[in-house]
Amino acid sequence: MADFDDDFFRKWQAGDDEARNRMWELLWHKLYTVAVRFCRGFTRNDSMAEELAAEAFTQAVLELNEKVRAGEVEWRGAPPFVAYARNRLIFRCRSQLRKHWREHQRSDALDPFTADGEEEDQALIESLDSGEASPDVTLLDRDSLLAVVTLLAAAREMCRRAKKLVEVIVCIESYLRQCVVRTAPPEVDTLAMDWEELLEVAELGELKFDKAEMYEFIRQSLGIDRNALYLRMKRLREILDGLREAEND
Amino acid sequence: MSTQIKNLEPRCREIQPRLPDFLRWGLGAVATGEVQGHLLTCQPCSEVYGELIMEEVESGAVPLRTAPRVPSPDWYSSYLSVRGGRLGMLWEALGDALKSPDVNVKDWAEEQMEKVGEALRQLLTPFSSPPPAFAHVATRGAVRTRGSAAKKSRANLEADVLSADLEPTGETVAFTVEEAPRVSIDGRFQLQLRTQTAGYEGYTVFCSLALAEAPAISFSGKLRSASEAGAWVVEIDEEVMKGVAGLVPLRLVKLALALK
Repeated sequence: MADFDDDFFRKWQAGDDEARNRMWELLWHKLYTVAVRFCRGFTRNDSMAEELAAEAFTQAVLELNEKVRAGEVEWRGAPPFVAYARNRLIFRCRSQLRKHWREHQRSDALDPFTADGEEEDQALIESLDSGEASPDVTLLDRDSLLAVVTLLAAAREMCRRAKKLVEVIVCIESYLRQCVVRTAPPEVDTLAMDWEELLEVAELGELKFDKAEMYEFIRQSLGIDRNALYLRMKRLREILDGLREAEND
Repeated sequence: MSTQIKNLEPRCREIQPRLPDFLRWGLGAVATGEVQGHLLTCQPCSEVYGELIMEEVESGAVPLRTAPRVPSPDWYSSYLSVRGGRLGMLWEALGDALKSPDVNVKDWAEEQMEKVGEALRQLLTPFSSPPPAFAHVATRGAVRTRGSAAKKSRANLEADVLSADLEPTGETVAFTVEEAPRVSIDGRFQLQLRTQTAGYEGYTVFCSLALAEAPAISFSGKLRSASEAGAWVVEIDEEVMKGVAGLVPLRLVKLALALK
């Protein structure tokens, strides 16, 4: 980073392509590696992390170039500049990850726990009142279960300012845990086990998860009627789809 | 980190100490989800996490990745929008677009390449015999076409001088075309130009080809002093595509000059 000084920055600002290329050598590979590592903490595989990071990186570099050339970024030395560039890149990575979550992860792993759409929510919740049996029985393996547990925890974190939604997610987590505990040998004390330990002793071949049963469990646990549950599920989906932090309620 | 933590939101204060373990994949499923959910909604904690990763990268603990090549910002918007214009589509920019991580940009570039390839095939006059490598052509003005040695006097072309925002300044520079422009057997667009007009050294010469069913495309090269005094030359030699080769009719060539 020795060459990266005020003079270098001015040249880049003036549109010097050589300075831009030198920047590439000095900084971009490191920052790109940071971006891939950042995304890898959220995705299940390297190639997806690389894809998201590449997109975030392109956006961040173009944004940074524009800001530098427009004089919107002041030079206060190399470390503050690198930190600024890294923070813009992290911001772009988060945008990409939220987009990815909306498009893939939530639908992949959370759908057993939140219905596919509002109409299904409504129909499912109404069916509870009519006493109809639910055809929705989902079987999950260990990895899928751990992915769901992680996603539920992430959803709970994102909704943490909305207590009523947190209550719903905690109920979903409890219901899921109950389903798994039911499959464990009766002599095993599962009470203090974390999820990883629990899944070691559970007989997942016997695991059955019933969405209608879960809705009933939530209603009874929270003492709410079907309309309230419908509204909360709808709100939960809106937050997860928009991936905004929920406001206080 | 401890000084910073004092001024944090209570939840950030709980999450930040978990970040080193999160980085090492050392948290359980629930804690991992909580950190993920938090980072997705909290830029300050994400920045702290980014700093941790940077420390790890700078320590050499993780191998550096090669950053994707991002197209020149000056030309980026043209990737998606230019369909001709004063200079045509810069071939170099199209090449960059093909390497773009943005799928839309890449798809667009592939589509343009296909169109340009087809248009080039139609307009090129095929070589009757393998031409000598461009750089070694010594004869002046002799172009072989269709099997006969057609002696051709050197052609002159005028280039519009453009301002920094690519508007015509009204000035022109006369160039001599010493060899017919061509796409070589190995798929390179090649053109040598010479001028005796002083004052434009370091300018970029853009050579645009008007194509029938595709956007005009441009190749470029820098004007530099020739070996003899009072002359300046530009050699354009850019990779186009394999499988198309031949001479480019001069009537389709348009030149422009800009300081870029």
